[in-house]
Amino acid sequence: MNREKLLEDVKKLNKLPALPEVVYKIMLLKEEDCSLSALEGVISKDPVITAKLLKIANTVYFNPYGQSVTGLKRAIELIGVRNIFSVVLSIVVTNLFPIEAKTFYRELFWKHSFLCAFISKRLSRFVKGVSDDTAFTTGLLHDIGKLVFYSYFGDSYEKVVELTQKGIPSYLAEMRVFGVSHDEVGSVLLEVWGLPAEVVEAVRFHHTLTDSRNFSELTALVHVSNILTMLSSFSYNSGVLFVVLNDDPGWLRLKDYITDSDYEIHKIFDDVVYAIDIAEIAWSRE
Amino acid sequence: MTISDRVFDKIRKIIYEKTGLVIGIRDRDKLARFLSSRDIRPKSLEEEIEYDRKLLYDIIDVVTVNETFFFRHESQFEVLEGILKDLLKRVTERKIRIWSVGCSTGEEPYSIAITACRAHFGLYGSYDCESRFEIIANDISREALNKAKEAVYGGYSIRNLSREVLETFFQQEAPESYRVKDFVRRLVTFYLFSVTSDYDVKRYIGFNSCDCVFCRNVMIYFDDNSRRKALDNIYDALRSDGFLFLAPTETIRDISGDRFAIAITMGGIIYVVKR
Repeated sequence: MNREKLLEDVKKLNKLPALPEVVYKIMLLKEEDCSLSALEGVISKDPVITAKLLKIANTVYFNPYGQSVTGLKRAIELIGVRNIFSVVLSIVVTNLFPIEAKTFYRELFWKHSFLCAFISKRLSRFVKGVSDDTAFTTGLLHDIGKLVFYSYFGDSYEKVVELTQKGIPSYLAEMRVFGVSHDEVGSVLLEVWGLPAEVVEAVRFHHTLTDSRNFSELTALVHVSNILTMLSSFSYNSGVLFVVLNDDPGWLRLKDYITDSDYEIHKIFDDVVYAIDIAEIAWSRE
Repeated sequence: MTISDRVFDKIRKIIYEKTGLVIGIRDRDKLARFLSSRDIRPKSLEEEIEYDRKLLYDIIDVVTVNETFFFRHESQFEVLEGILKDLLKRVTERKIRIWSVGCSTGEEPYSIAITACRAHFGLYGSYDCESRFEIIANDISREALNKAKEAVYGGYSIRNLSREVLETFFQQEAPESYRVKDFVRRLVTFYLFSVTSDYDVKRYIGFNSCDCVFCRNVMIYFDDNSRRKALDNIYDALRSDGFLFLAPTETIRDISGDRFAIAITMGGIIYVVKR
Protein backbone atom coordinates (compact mmCIF):
# COMPACT_ATOMS: atom_id res chain seq x y z
CA MET A 1 0.00 0.00 0.00
CA ASN A 2 1.40 3.37 -0.92
CA ARG A 3 1.31 6.60 0.98
CA GLU A 4 -1.55 8.26 -0.95
CA LYS A 5 -3.72 5.14 -0.82
CA LEU A 6 -3.27 4.83 2.94
CA LEU A 7 -4.05 8.49 3.64
CA GLU A 8 -7.11 8.24 1.34
CA ASP A 9 -8.32 5.17 3.29
CA VAL A 10 -7.88 6.95 6.59
CA LYS A 11 -9.92 9.90 5.33
CA LYS A 12 -12.77 7.54 4.36
CA LEU A 13 -12.41 5.60 7.63
CA ASN A 14 -11.95 2.39 5.63
CA LYS A 15 -11.19 -0.34 8.16
CA LEU A 16 -11.02 2.34 10.87
CA PRO A 17 -13.44 3.00 13.71
CA ALA A 18 -15.56 6.12 14.09
CA LEU A 19 -15.81 7.82 17.47
CA PRO A 20 -18.95 6.73 19.36
CA GLU A 21 -21.83 9.16 19.90
CA VAL A 22 -21.17 9.64 23.60
CA VAL A 23 -17.90 11.46 22.87
CA TYR A 24 -19.59 13.95 20.55
CA LYS A 25 -22.39 14.47 23.06
CA ILE A 26 -19.89 15.36 25.78
CA MET A 27 -17.94 17.51 23.32
CA LEU A 28 -21.15 19.47 22.64
CA LEU A 29 -22.03 19.75 26.33
CA LYS A 30 -18.52 21.00 26.99
CA GLU A 31 -19.04 23.91 24.62
CA GLU A 32 -22.23 24.89 26.43
CA ASP A 33 -20.64 24.99 29.86
CA CYS A 34 -22.23 21.75 30.94
CA SER A 35 -23.80 20.85 34.27
CA LEU A 36 -23.03 17.85 36.42
CA SER A 37 -26.45 16.28 35.94
CA ALA A 38 -26.39 16.79 32.16
CA LEU A 39 -23.06 14.91 32.04
CA GLU A 40 -24.39 12.21 34.31
CA GLY A 41 -27.41 11.79 32.03
CA VAL A 42 -25.25 11.23 28.95
CA ILE A 43 -22.62 9.00 30.55
CA SER A 44 -24.94 6.78 32.62
CA LYS A 45 -26.29 5.25 29.40
CA ASP A 46 -22.90 3.63 28.87
CA PRO A 47 -22.15 1.02 31.58
CA VAL A 48 -18.54 0.38 30.45
CA ILE A 49 -17.56 4.04 30.72
CA THR A 50 -19.45 4.39 34.01
CA ALA A 51 -17.59 1.46 35.56
CA LYS A 52 -14.19 2.79 34.43
CA LEU A 53 -14.94 6.29 35.71
CA LEU A 54 -15.80 4.86 39.13
CA LYS A 55 -12.51 3.00 39.19
CA ILE A 56 -10.53 6.06 38.21
CA ALA A 57 -12.36 8.26 40.74
CA ASN A 58 -11.28 5.83 43.44
CA THR A 59 -7.54 6.28 42.77
CA VAL A 60 -5.45 8.17 45.28
CA TYR A 61 -4.91 10.99 42.84
CA PHE A 62 -8.57 11.96 42.59
CA ASN A 63 -9.63 10.63 45.97
CA PRO A 64 -6.82 11.22 48.48
CA TYR A 65 -8.94 10.56 51.56
CA GLY A 66 -10.02 7.17 50.37
CA GLN A 67 -13.79 7.46 50.90
CA SER A 68 -15.18 4.87 48.56
CA VAL A 69 -17.01 6.35 45.57
CA THR A 70 -19.98 4.35 44.29
CA GLY A 71 -22.15 6.91 42.48
CA LEU A 72 -21.44 8.29 39.00
CA LYS A 73 -22.30 11.86 39.99
CA ARG A 74 -19.77 11.88 42.81
CA ALA A 75 -17.20 10.27 40.49
CA ILE A 76 -17.65 13.05 37.93
CA GLU A 77 -17.35 15.61 40.71
CA LEU A 78 -14.07 14.16 41.95
CA ILE A 79 -12.53 13.80 38.50
CA GLY A 80 -13.77 17.29 37.67
CA VAL A 81 -16.29 18.40 35.07
CA ARG A 82 -13.50 20.03 33.06
CA ASN A 83 -11.57 16.78 32.90
CA ILE A 84 -14.42 14.47 32.03
CA PHE A 85 -14.10 14.87 28.28
CA SER A 86 -10.47 13.86 28.18
CA VAL A 87 -10.93 10.98 30.61
CA VAL A 88 -13.94 9.58 28.71
CA LEU A 89 -12.10 10.03 25.43
CA SER A 90 -9.20 8.03 26.80
CA ILE A 91 -11.48 5.18 27.89
CA VAL A 92 -13.37 5.12 24.60
CA VAL A 93 -10.38 5.33 22.27
CA THR A 94 -8.62 2.54 24.14
CA ASN A 95 -11.43 0.13 23.30
CA LEU A 96 -11.83 1.23 19.68
CA PHE A 97 -8.94 -0.65 18.16
CA PRO A 98 -9.12 -4.41 18.57
CA ILE A 99 -5.53 -5.10 17.58
CA GLU A 100 -4.25 -8.65 17.61
CA ALA A 101 -0.68 -8.13 16.35
CA LYS A 102 1.97 -9.85 18.43
CA THR A 103 4.23 -6.80 18.48
CA PHE A 104 1.51 -4.51 19.85
CA TYR A 105 1.70 -3.98 23.59
CA ARG A 106 -1.71 -2.55 24.40
CA GLU A 107 -0.91 -1.68 28.00
CA LEU A 108 2.39 -0.01 27.25
CA PHE A 109 0.83 1.97 24.42
CA TRP A 110 -1.97 3.41 26.54
CA LYS A 111 0.09 3.93 29.65
CA HIS A 112 2.64 5.84 27.59
CA SER A 113 -0.13 7.89 25.96
CA PHE A 114 -1.78 8.60 29.28
CA LEU A 115 1.45 9.64 30.92
CA CYS A 116 2.20 11.99 28.03
CA ALA A 117 -1.31 13.42 28.47
CA PHE A 118 -0.82 13.82 32.20
CA ILE A 119 2.50 15.64 31.80
CA SER A 120 1.11 17.81 28.98
CA LYS A 121 -1.69 18.90 31.23
CA ARG A 122 0.74 19.51 34.07
CA LEU A 123 2.92 21.73 31.86
CA SER A 124 -0.04 23.55 30.33
CA ARG A 125 -0.69 25.47 33.53
CA PHE A 126 2.43 27.51 32.79
CA VAL A 127 1.77 28.19 29.14
CA LYS A 128 -0.59 31.01 28.30
CA GLY A 129 -3.20 30.20 25.70
CA VAL A 130 -3.07 26.41 26.08
CA SER A 131 -6.01 25.00 28.01
CA ASP A 132 -5.40 22.01 30.23
CA ASP A 133 -7.98 19.75 28.62
CA THR A 134 -6.68 20.47 25.11
CA ALA A 135 -3.18 19.63 26.34
CA PHE A 136 -4.43 16.38 27.87
CA THR A 137 -6.32 15.35 24.74
CA THR A 138 -3.35 16.07 22.49
CA GLY A 139 -0.97 14.14 24.73
CA LEU A 140 -3.36 11.21 24.84
CA LEU A 141 -3.78 11.02 21.07
CA HIS A 142 -0.28 11.94 19.93
CA ASP A 143 0.59 8.37 18.87
CA ILE A 144 -2.85 7.35 17.57
CA GLY A 145 -1.38 6.95 14.09
CA LYS A 146 0.48 3.88 15.33
CA LEU A 147 -2.88 2.21 15.90
CA VAL A 148 -3.79 2.93 12.28
CA PHE A 149 -0.62 1.14 11.17
CA TYR A 150 -1.45 -1.83 13.38
CA SER A 151 -5.02 -1.92 12.08
CA TYR A 152 -3.85 -1.98 8.47
CA PHE A 153 -0.61 -3.85 8.52
CA GLY A 154 -0.84 -6.01 11.64
CA ASP A 155 2.25 -8.12 11.83
CA SER A 156 4.19 -6.35 9.10
CA TYR A 157 4.66 -3.47 11.56
CA GLU A 158 7.25 -5.85 12.99
CA LYS A 159 9.77 -4.42 10.52
CA VAL A 160 9.34 -1.00 12.12
CA VAL A 161 9.73 -2.49 15.60
CA GLU A 162 12.94 -4.21 14.49
CA LEU A 163 14.37 -0.91 13.23
CA THR A 164 13.46 0.92 16.44
CA GLN A 165 15.29 -1.73 18.42
CA LYS A 166 18.39 -0.80 16.42
CA GLY A 167 18.00 2.76 17.69
CA ILE A 168 16.04 4.38 14.85
CA PRO A 169 13.18 6.60 16.05
CA SER A 170 9.77 5.12 15.19
CA TYR A 171 8.64 7.90 12.84
CA LEU A 172 11.80 7.54 10.73
CA ALA A 173 11.48 3.75 10.72
CA GLU A 174 7.87 4.06 9.50
CA MET A 175 8.95 6.45 6.75
CA ARG A 176 11.49 3.89 5.64
CA VAL A 177 9.04 0.96 5.66
CA PHE A 178 5.74 2.61 4.61
CA GLY A 179 6.74 6.00 3.20
CA VAL A 180 4.55 7.76 5.76
CA SER A 181 4.77 8.07 9.54
CA HIS A 182 2.37 7.82 12.49
CA ASP A 183 2.36 11.56 13.21
CA GLU A 184 0.95 12.37 9.78
CA VAL A 185 -1.45 9.40 9.66
CA GLY A 186 -2.66 10.21 13.17
CA SER A 187 -3.33 13.84 12.36
CA VAL A 188 -5.41 12.85 9.33
CA LEU A 189 -7.53 10.49 11.44
CA LEU A 190 -8.09 13.14 14.12
CA GLU A 191 -9.16 15.60 11.47
CA VAL A 192 -11.74 13.11 10.21
CA TRP A 193 -12.90 12.54 13.79
CA GLY A 194 -13.51 16.27 14.08
CA LEU A 195 -10.99 17.21 16.74
CA PRO A 196 -9.90 20.86 16.98
CA ALA A 197 -7.38 22.09 14.40
CA GLU A 198 -4.76 22.94 17.03
CA VAL A 199 -4.80 19.32 18.28
CA VAL A 200 -4.47 18.00 14.72
CA GLU A 201 -1.53 20.34 14.09
CA ALA A 202 0.30 19.41 17.31
CA VAL A 203 -0.07 15.67 16.64
CA ARG A 204 1.17 16.18 13.07
CA PHE A 205 4.42 17.85 14.19
CA HIS A 206 5.15 16.30 17.60
CA HIS A 207 8.38 14.76 16.26
CA THR A 208 9.33 17.28 13.57
CA LEU A 209 8.26 20.44 15.37
CA THR A 210 10.58 22.76 13.53
CA ASP A 211 8.87 21.78 10.23
CA SER A 212 5.64 23.25 11.50
CA ARG A 213 5.00 26.66 9.98
CA ASN A 214 3.51 28.22 13.07
CA PHE A 215 5.23 25.97 15.65
CA SER A 216 2.59 26.38 18.36
CA GLU A 217 3.12 26.14 22.11
CA LEU A 218 0.84 23.11 22.13
CA THR A 219 3.13 21.31 19.68
CA ALA A 220 6.17 22.12 21.82
CA LEU A 221 4.32 21.02 24.94
CA VAL A 222 3.39 17.59 23.63
CA HIS A 223 6.87 17.09 22.19
CA VAL A 224 8.48 17.85 25.56
CA SER A 225 5.95 15.72 27.47
CA ASN A 226 6.79 12.82 25.17
CA ILE A 227 10.46 13.24 26.18
CA LEU A 228 9.55 13.45 29.87
CA THR A 229 7.74 10.10 29.72
CA MET A 230 11.27 8.66 29.67
CA LEU A 231 11.27 9.29 33.41
CA SER A 232 8.83 6.43 33.84
CA SER A 233 8.89 2.84 32.73
CA PHE A 234 6.14 3.68 30.23
CA SER A 235 8.33 4.83 27.45
CA TYR A 236 9.67 3.43 24.20
CA ASN A 237 13.34 2.79 24.32
CA SER A 238 14.41 3.85 20.87
CA GLY A 239 18.12 3.94 21.48
CA VAL A 240 18.04 7.45 22.93
CA LEU A 241 20.11 7.45 26.10
CA PHE A 242 19.32 10.92 27.27
CA VAL A 243 17.92 14.23 26.10
CA VAL A 244 19.54 17.42 27.34
CA LEU A 245 16.53 19.68 27.75
CA ASN A 246 18.39 22.88 26.97
CA ASP A 247 19.31 21.50 23.52
CA ASP A 248 15.72 20.65 22.67
CA PRO A 249 13.81 23.14 20.46
CA GLY A 250 10.50 22.29 22.15
CA TRP A 251 11.88 22.97 25.60
CA LEU A 252 13.48 26.23 24.46
CA ARG A 253 10.05 27.31 23.23
CA LEU A 254 8.44 26.63 26.64
CA LYS A 255 11.22 27.44 29.04
CA ASP A 256 10.58 31.16 29.25
CA TYR A 257 7.03 30.58 30.46
CA ILE A 258 8.25 28.63 33.48
CA THR A 259 9.88 30.69 36.21
CA ASP A 260 11.85 28.01 37.99
CA SER A 261 11.96 25.37 35.29
CA ASP A 262 14.49 23.05 36.96
CA TYR A 263 12.29 22.91 40.02
CA GLU A 264 9.16 22.21 38.00
CA ILE A 265 10.88 19.31 36.20
CA HIS A 266 11.63 17.76 39.58
CA LYS A 267 8.04 18.30 40.68
CA ILE A 268 6.76 16.61 37.53
CA PHE A 269 9.13 13.73 38.21
CA ASP A 270 7.48 13.35 41.64
CA ASP A 271 3.94 13.58 40.20
CA VAL A 272 4.64 10.93 37.61
CA VAL A 273 4.22 8.43 40.45
CA TYR A 274 0.53 9.37 40.75
CA ALA A 275 0.08 9.19 37.04
CA ILE A 276 1.51 5.68 36.97
CA ASP A 277 -0.93 4.73 39.69
CA ILE A 278 -3.91 5.91 37.62
CA ALA A 279 -2.54 4.35 34.46
CA GLU A 280 -2.17 0.98 36.16
CA ILE A 281 -5.81 1.04 37.24
CA ALA A 282 -7.32 2.47 34.09
CA TRP A 283 -5.44 0.34 31.59
CA SER A 284 -4.53 -2.88 33.28
CA ARG A 285 -6.24 -5.95 31.85
CA GLU A 286 -9.36 -6.66 33.87
CA MET B 1 29.09 9.84 80.65
CA THR B 2 27.27 12.80 79.13
CA ILE B 3 28.52 15.56 76.88
CA SER B 4 27.54 19.12 77.73
CA ASP B 5 26.00 21.35 75.06
CA ARG B 6 29.05 23.53 74.91
CA VAL B 7 31.45 20.63 74.44
CA PHE B 8 29.18 18.90 71.92
CA ASP B 9 29.05 22.10 69.86
CA LYS B 10 32.79 22.27 69.94
CA ILE B 11 33.16 18.65 68.76
CA ARG B 12 30.66 19.30 66.00
CA LYS B 13 32.68 22.29 64.93
CA ILE B 14 35.94 20.35 64.82
CA ILE B 15 34.39 17.55 62.76
CA TYR B 16 32.72 20.05 60.47
CA GLU B 17 35.96 21.92 59.82
CA LYS B 18 37.91 18.76 59.12
CA THR B 19 35.34 16.88 57.04
CA GLY B 20 32.43 19.11 56.02
CA LEU B 21 30.12 16.69 57.82
CA VAL B 22 27.35 18.04 60.03
CA ILE B 23 26.62 15.67 62.89
CA GLY B 24 23.18 15.68 64.44
CA ILE B 25 21.98 15.78 68.01
CA ARG B 26 21.11 12.08 67.83
CA ASP B 27 24.80 11.30 67.36
CA ARG B 28 25.48 12.68 70.82
CA ASP B 29 24.80 9.44 72.71
CA LYS B 30 26.81 7.40 70.24
CA LEU B 31 29.68 9.78 70.66
CA ALA B 32 29.43 9.75 74.47
CA ARG B 33 29.52 5.94 74.48
CA PHE B 34 32.53 5.91 72.21
CA LEU B 35 34.48 8.45 74.25
CA SER B 36 33.83 6.60 77.47
CA SER B 37 34.99 3.33 75.86
CA ARG B 38 38.26 5.09 75.05
CA ASP B 39 38.40 6.74 78.40
CA ILE B 40 38.58 10.20 76.85
CA ARG B 41 37.06 13.16 78.67
CA PRO B 42 34.94 15.18 76.22
CA LYS B 43 36.52 18.40 77.38
CA SER B 44 39.99 17.33 76.36
CA LEU B 45 38.88 15.96 72.98
CA GLU B 46 40.25 18.82 70.91
CA GLU B 47 43.65 18.42 72.41
CA GLU B 48 43.57 14.65 71.95
CA ILE B 49 42.64 15.02 68.27
CA GLU B 50 45.57 17.34 67.69
CA TYR B 51 47.78 14.83 69.37
CA ASP B 52 46.26 11.70 67.82
CA ARG B 53 44.99 12.25 64.27
CA LYS B 54 43.66 8.69 64.15
CA LEU B 55 41.13 9.54 66.81
CA LEU B 56 39.31 11.88 64.42
CA TYR B 57 38.82 9.08 61.90
CA ASP B 58 37.53 6.80 64.64
CA ILE B 59 34.96 9.40 65.58
CA ILE B 60 33.92 9.76 61.95
CA ASP B 61 33.40 6.00 61.77
CA VAL B 62 31.12 6.23 64.76
CA VAL B 63 28.89 9.00 63.42
CA THR B 64 28.59 8.14 59.72
CA VAL B 65 26.00 5.66 58.58
CA ASN B 66 27.32 3.07 56.17
CA GLU B 67 24.44 1.07 54.90
CA THR B 68 24.07 0.52 51.19
CA PHE B 69 23.77 -2.21 48.58
CA PHE B 70 24.89 -3.15 45.08
CA PHE B 71 23.07 -1.47 42.17
CA ARG B 72 21.08 0.87 44.36
CA HIS B 73 18.75 2.84 42.02
CA GLU B 74 19.34 0.21 39.38
CA SER B 75 18.00 2.04 36.34
CA GLN B 76 20.80 4.61 36.69
CA PHE B 77 23.30 1.84 35.97
CA GLU B 78 21.45 0.97 32.76
CA VAL B 79 21.90 4.57 31.69
CA LEU B 80 25.56 4.47 32.75
CA GLU B 81 26.15 1.34 30.66
CA GLY B 82 24.87 3.15 27.58
CA ILE B 83 27.03 6.18 28.31
CA LEU B 84 30.12 4.03 28.86
CA LYS B 85 29.57 2.12 25.59
CA ASP B 86 29.42 5.42 23.79
CA LEU B 87 32.59 6.63 25.53
CA LEU B 88 34.41 3.36 24.74
CA LYS B 89 33.79 3.99 21.06
CA ARG B 90 34.95 7.59 21.18
CA VAL B 91 37.69 7.74 23.80
CA THR B 92 40.78 5.74 22.94
CA GLU B 93 43.74 7.96 23.80
CA ARG B 94 43.12 7.97 27.58
CA LYS B 95 41.32 6.06 30.28
CA ILE B 96 37.64 6.72 30.93
CA ARG B 97 37.44 8.04 34.46
CA ILE B 98 34.58 7.74 36.93
CA TRP B 99 34.55 9.11 40.45
CA SER B 100 32.38 7.60 43.18
CA VAL B 101 31.97 10.25 45.89
CA GLY B 102 31.34 9.05 49.45
CA CYS B 103 31.70 5.42 48.41
CA SER B 104 31.24 4.02 51.92
CA THR B 105 31.89 0.25 51.98
CA GLY B 106 32.42 0.02 48.21
CA GLU B 107 29.10 -1.23 46.84
CA GLU B 108 28.73 1.78 44.55
CA PRO B 109 32.21 1.84 42.95
CA TYR B 110 32.10 -1.93 42.40
CA SER B 111 28.63 -1.62 40.84
CA ILE B 112 30.14 1.00 38.52
CA ALA B 113 33.08 -1.31 37.79
CA ILE B 114 30.76 -4.23 36.96
CA THR B 115 28.78 -1.92 34.67
CA ALA B 116 32.02 -0.89 32.95
CA CYS B 117 32.93 -4.56 32.44
CA ARG B 118 29.51 -5.25 30.95
CA ALA B 119 29.74 -2.28 28.60
CA HIS B 120 33.15 -3.52 27.45
CA PHE B 121 31.86 -7.07 27.06
CA GLY B 122 28.91 -5.79 25.03
CA LEU B 123 31.24 -4.17 22.49
CA TYR B 124 34.33 -6.36 22.46
CA GLY B 125 33.27 -9.68 24.01
CA SER B 126 35.70 -9.51 26.93
CA TYR B 127 35.52 -8.27 30.52
CA ASP B 128 39.18 -7.35 30.57
CA CYS B 129 39.07 -3.54 30.51
CA GLU B 130 41.70 -2.33 32.96
CA SER B 131 43.41 -0.38 30.22
CA ARG B 132 40.17 1.47 29.41
CA PHE B 133 38.61 2.40 32.75
CA GLU B 134 39.69 3.99 35.98
CA ILE B 135 37.30 4.29 38.91
CA ILE B 136 38.26 6.48 41.84
CA ALA B 137 36.35 6.19 45.08
CA ASN B 138 36.68 8.27 48.22
CA ASP B 139 35.21 8.33 51.69
CA ILE B 140 35.98 9.91 55.03
CA SER B 141 35.47 6.74 57.03
CA ARG B 142 38.60 4.65 57.28
CA GLU B 143 36.69 1.67 58.57
CA ALA B 144 34.32 1.77 55.58
CA LEU B 145 37.25 2.03 53.17
CA ASN B 146 38.97 -0.96 54.74
CA LYS B 147 35.85 -2.98 54.20
CA ALA B 148 35.64 -1.69 50.64
CA LYS B 149 39.19 -2.79 49.89
CA GLU B 150 38.49 -6.22 51.32
CA ALA B 151 35.56 -6.46 48.91
CA VAL B 152 33.72 -9.21 50.75
CA TYR B 153 29.93 -8.91 50.86
CA GLY B 154 26.84 -10.77 51.99
CA GLY B 155 23.26 -10.36 53.21
CA TYR B 156 21.66 -6.97 52.73
CA SER B 157 24.26 -5.53 50.39
CA ILE B 158 23.98 -8.24 47.71
CA ARG B 159 20.19 -8.56 47.78
CA ASN B 160 19.86 -6.97 44.33
CA LEU B 161 22.28 -9.31 42.59
CA SER B 162 21.18 -12.09 40.28
CA ARG B 163 22.76 -15.54 40.21
CA GLU B 164 24.38 -14.63 36.92
CA VAL B 165 26.03 -11.47 38.28
CA LEU B 166 27.24 -13.28 41.40
CA GLU B 167 28.77 -16.06 39.31
CA THR B 168 30.44 -13.76 36.79
CA PHE B 169 31.81 -11.03 39.03
CA PHE B 170 32.11 -12.64 42.50
CA GLN B 171 33.84 -15.56 44.07
CA GLN B 172 31.97 -17.41 46.78
CA GLU B 173 34.01 -17.60 49.98
CA ALA B 174 31.45 -18.98 52.41
CA PRO B 175 27.73 -19.83 52.19
CA GLU B 176 26.65 -16.19 52.54
CA SER B 177 29.83 -14.43 51.64
CA TYR B 178 31.10 -13.31 48.25
CA ARG B 179 34.31 -11.55 47.22
CA VAL B 180 34.48 -9.26 44.19
CA LYS B 181 36.73 -10.87 41.57
CA ASP B 182 40.17 -9.42 40.91
CA PHE B 183 39.48 -8.19 37.39
CA VAL B 184 36.70 -5.98 38.80
CA ARG B 185 38.61 -4.87 41.89
CA ARG B 186 41.61 -3.76 39.83
CA LEU B 187 39.47 -1.05 38.21
CA VAL B 188 38.83 0.74 41.51
CA THR B 189 41.21 2.79 43.66
CA PHE B 190 40.13 3.95 47.12
CA TYR B 191 41.24 7.14 48.87
CA LEU B 192 40.57 8.59 52.30
CA PHE B 193 39.47 12.20 51.86
CA SER B 194 36.43 14.44 51.84
CA VAL B 195 34.75 15.81 48.71
CA THR B 196 34.61 19.17 50.47
CA SER B 197 38.39 19.43 50.64
CA ASP B 198 39.66 21.46 47.65
CA TYR B 199 43.18 20.42 48.34
CA ASP B 200 42.48 16.67 48.35
CA VAL B 201 40.19 16.79 45.35
CA LYS B 202 42.84 18.58 43.30
CA ARG B 203 45.46 16.14 44.52
CA TYR B 204 43.61 12.85 43.99
CA ILE B 205 41.20 13.75 41.21
CA GLY B 206 42.54 16.83 39.44
CA PHE B 207 40.86 19.28 37.07
CA ASN B 208 38.75 18.35 34.07
CA SER B 209 39.47 14.70 34.43
CA CYS B 210 36.25 12.77 35.11
CA ASP B 211 33.73 11.56 32.55
CA CYS B 212 31.16 10.69 35.21
CA VAL B 213 30.71 11.46 38.88
CA PHE B 214 28.38 9.58 41.20
CA CYS B 215 27.47 11.58 44.29
CA ARG B 216 24.38 9.89 45.62
CA ASN B 217 23.05 10.27 49.15
CA VAL B 218 26.16 12.18 50.19
CA MET B 219 25.11 15.82 50.14
CA ILE B 220 22.10 15.00 52.31
CA TYR B 221 24.53 14.85 55.24
CA PHE B 222 25.91 18.32 54.43
CA ASP B 223 24.78 21.82 55.23
CA ASP B 224 24.50 24.44 52.47
CA ASN B 225 28.06 25.58 52.77
CA SER B 226 29.47 22.06 52.49
CA ARG B 227 27.07 21.24 49.65
CA ARG B 228 28.35 24.24 47.73
CA LYS B 229 31.96 23.28 48.30
CA ALA B 230 31.29 19.71 47.26
CA LEU B 231 29.53 20.77 44.08
CA ASP B 232 32.30 23.27 43.20
CA ASN B 233 34.86 20.51 43.53
CA ILE B 234 32.78 18.06 41.51
CA TYR B 235 32.27 20.64 38.78
CA ASP B 236 36.01 21.29 38.60
CA ALA B 237 36.72 17.56 38.45
CA LEU B 238 34.29 16.90 35.59
CA ARG B 239 35.24 17.18 31.93
CA SER B 240 33.07 19.31 29.68
CA ASP B 241 30.06 17.16 28.72
CA GLY B 242 30.72 15.08 31.84
CA PHE B 243 27.78 13.54 33.71
CA LEU B 244 26.74 13.89 37.33
CA PHE B 245 24.48 11.28 38.93
CA LEU B 246 22.63 12.20 42.12
CA ALA B 247 20.13 10.05 44.00
CA PRO B 248 16.67 10.35 42.36
CA THR B 249 15.25 12.48 45.15
CA GLU B 250 18.19 14.89 45.40
CA THR B 251 18.46 18.22 43.67
CA ILE B 252 21.20 20.82 43.24
CA ARG B 253 19.11 23.49 41.56
CA ASP B 254 19.59 25.88 44.50
CA ILE B 255 23.38 25.74 44.27
CA SER B 256 24.19 24.72 40.69
CA GLY B 257 23.94 28.17 39.14
CA ASP B 258 24.26 27.87 35.39
CA ARG B 259 26.85 25.12 35.47
CA PHE B 260 24.73 22.02 34.85
CA ALA B 261 22.00 21.18 32.35
CA ILE B 262 19.23 18.72 33.11
CA ALA B 263 19.18 15.58 31.01
CA ILE B 264 16.15 13.29 30.94
CA THR B 265 16.94 9.57 30.98
CA MET B 266 15.24 6.25 31.72
CA GLY B 267 17.06 6.37 35.04
CA GLY B 268 15.55 9.71 35.99
CA ILE B 269 17.17 13.11 35.87
CA ILE B 270 20.95 13.35 35.49
CA TYR B 271 23.12 16.42 35.04
CA VAL B 272 25.43 17.38 32.19
CA VAL B 273 28.23 19.92 32.57
CA LYS B 274 27.69 23.11 30.59
CA ARG B 275 30.89 24.82 29.48
